[in-house]
Amino acid sequence: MQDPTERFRLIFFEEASEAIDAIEQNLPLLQSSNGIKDVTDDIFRAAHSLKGGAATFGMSALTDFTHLMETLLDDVRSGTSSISDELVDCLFSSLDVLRNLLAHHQDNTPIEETMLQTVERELMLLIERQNTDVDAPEAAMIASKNWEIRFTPEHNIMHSGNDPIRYLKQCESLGELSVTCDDTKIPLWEDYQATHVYLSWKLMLSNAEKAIEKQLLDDVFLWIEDECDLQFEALPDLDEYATTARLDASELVTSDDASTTKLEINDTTSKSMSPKKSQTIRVDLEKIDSLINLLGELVITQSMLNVFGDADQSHDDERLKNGLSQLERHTRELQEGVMRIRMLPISFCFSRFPRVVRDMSKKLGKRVELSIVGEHTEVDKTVIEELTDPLVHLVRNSLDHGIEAPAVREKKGKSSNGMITLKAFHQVGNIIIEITDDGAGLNKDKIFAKAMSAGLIDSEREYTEQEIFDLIFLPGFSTAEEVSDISGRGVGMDVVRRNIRSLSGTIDVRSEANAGTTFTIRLPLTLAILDGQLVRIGEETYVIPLLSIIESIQVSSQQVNRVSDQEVTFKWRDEYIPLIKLGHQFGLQEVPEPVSEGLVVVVENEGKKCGLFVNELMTHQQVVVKSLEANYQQVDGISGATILGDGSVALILDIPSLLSQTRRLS
Amino acid sequence: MTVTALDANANDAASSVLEEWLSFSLDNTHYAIDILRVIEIRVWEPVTQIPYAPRHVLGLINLRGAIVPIVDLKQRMALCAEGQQKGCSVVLIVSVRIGQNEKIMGVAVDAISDVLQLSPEQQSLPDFEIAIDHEFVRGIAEHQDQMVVQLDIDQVLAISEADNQEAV
Repeated sequence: MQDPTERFRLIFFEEASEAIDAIEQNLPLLQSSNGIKDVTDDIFRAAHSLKGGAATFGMSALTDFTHLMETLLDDVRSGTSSISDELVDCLFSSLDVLRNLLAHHQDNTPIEETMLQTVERELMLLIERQNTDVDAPEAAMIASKNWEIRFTPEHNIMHSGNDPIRYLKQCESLGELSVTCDDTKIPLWEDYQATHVYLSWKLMLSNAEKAIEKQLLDDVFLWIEDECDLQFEALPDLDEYATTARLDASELVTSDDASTTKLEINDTTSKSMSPKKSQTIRVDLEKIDSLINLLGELVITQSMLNVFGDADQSHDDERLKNGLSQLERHTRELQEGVMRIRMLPISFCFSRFPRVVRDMSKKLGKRVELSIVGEHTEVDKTVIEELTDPLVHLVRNSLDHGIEAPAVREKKGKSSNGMITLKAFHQVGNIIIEITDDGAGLNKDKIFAKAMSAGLIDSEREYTEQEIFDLIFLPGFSTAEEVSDISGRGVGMDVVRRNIRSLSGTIDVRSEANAGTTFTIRLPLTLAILDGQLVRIGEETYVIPLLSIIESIQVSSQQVNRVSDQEVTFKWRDEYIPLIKLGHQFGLQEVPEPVSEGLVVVVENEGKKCGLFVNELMTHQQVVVKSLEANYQQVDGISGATILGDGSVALILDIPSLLSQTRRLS
Repeated sequence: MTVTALDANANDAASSVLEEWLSFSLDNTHYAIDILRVIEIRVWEPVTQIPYAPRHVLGLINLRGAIVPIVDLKQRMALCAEGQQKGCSVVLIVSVRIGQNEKIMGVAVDAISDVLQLSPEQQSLPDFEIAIDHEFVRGIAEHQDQMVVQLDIDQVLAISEADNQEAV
């Protein structure tokens, strides 16, 4: 077992990076909303908890730096400082420093001293300027010999491991302390909760020799200032407090315990109303994955039972069938539930873009607004992780190549501010992500010329506009004339497409000159389970994803046109679509020549259609997708394998890949 | 060799590193693979054919939820003509290292023979032509007056891209 503090450190790092992300997300809002209270409060809170955690683990560099940030943010929060562009920029670069410092503490990455120092200097400068600008009284500098402190902890302060008595004792170290305990808030016995604190205290602190700075008092209560109500009042010099009952801090403990016995007497009506919070727990992804695996096995077992249930015609037991169908329903619900655990809103991925766009547009001298639509759309966690890099690349491309410089835009009669839209939504079992810009659009001639010089063009052919646009996805294609550090780092659109494909998704581009470009990414919601139609082709059983099937029909030989031995088409709803003999195409042994009169399953993907000859349509059921690559390798036209109810292996057809092969043949 | 106390010790050490090999037969010849690589032995069961697969890859089976390819060893080592795959009755499930990955595969053989204890010194590299490719062979050992070909199972089961091309 690892060192327990190590575990807390890990949690701290996780929370810290979340806090930084939260700040990053909120910062752009800060400017647009010009200091809406909630936003500044959120940012301040995140910075504050970061500082607290850092101090706990003795990461002094981090503590000092966050303290600076916090001071600045506090000024912003209290309204003493205005939100300038400079300030937001400085805070952004502070986040980079924070990440660097965190990485330093986590894996000993070297600290980037120069960056740290510049940003620190900027921060100090800003803080200084705020203070001279507004000439705000520095609250922390107030000092007095006598203080009256009202300390009212929240009921559940003990839950976070804080013992209020400790803070009283700590105050004692600052001077002579006298404490009055207020127990009027103790509720009736039936409402009393043993772990809650119902007491509040009035502290009279005095130090005859020297004044106590408020800063010192703040420091005492630093850890719990969010969890209690504190009022400080500097009192004029007094030698005596006549009416206060003198209580030593240690006696207070007994008073706290004793209070439980006084409950019947105290008849106050204060009831604890704990605010409703959205409750979350952190779970290791591995645990969820093993749950999903187990569920996969359950789905298989369930379909196995269905096979038996169907085969067992002799009994014809109604109850068995009812039970089975109920089991199926529950399994499906369970599966959806478990899958939902892995689903995260895509805002986890989108949230980084406001900054990307801000930073880059500044660097490029362009004015770009980013609008994000549908950030609550939920996607599988692994998909989000794999999606982020391609999306960043696409957005950078739009900024760099798509959006024109403000002057050019004005000349074209467009608003000088460019617009990039990130949009996510669900569509029949897929998630669609669109990246749209209102820039110049793809330059058809330039792409064609470039592809020509890269040898990607088949000179024998005529290319439609769309086909030319699709050329940008080919390996070895990049139109960036000079390699900038923004896009064109040798990572081309082909890598983007490969990443998307590895998630079994597709990417398309649509573009119109001077109106803009839209990239559309289509991804399956989850990669683990799909609804499939089982078909028999020759001796083998295959699974066709139900989503890609349009219909299954009986075709007579008159409808089939044999163009040559290889190419067969047939007329379907007034259009000719190719027919594929899978057994033949896959090169399987002992495939009986498919009868020209047979069942044809019409499948579709992105408007392309084809028919598949099958010998028999079997049931449709949910199948658990297993990878072929785990022990074998990827196979063209096959997206994976699954295990059927009888324990045999069936391959899942990859319809998009089959369709692209037919296009190549024709 | 003069037998000293030191040498005797060395001999002891050598015998303690005896390797165990599982021997099996293919067309009356004996082959063996490192027993530590063998996960289990199964009887032949019907497989699911794989599209575009090289001829020696017979198909896929379900091994307790994992999808495992089965390789016909005779065809893989070009010991018989194409399409001839009779007589395979036993499947050895083995773990092989291909590149960085560890994969689980099955090899179909005629029959399992024995577990042999061989010391590394006992094996020698053949300096004569044998029926199979030299790169598949780790060494030749002798057991009860019979030649046993020790196979390098990683090499034998390395299914490369080139094999695929050939199949298509």
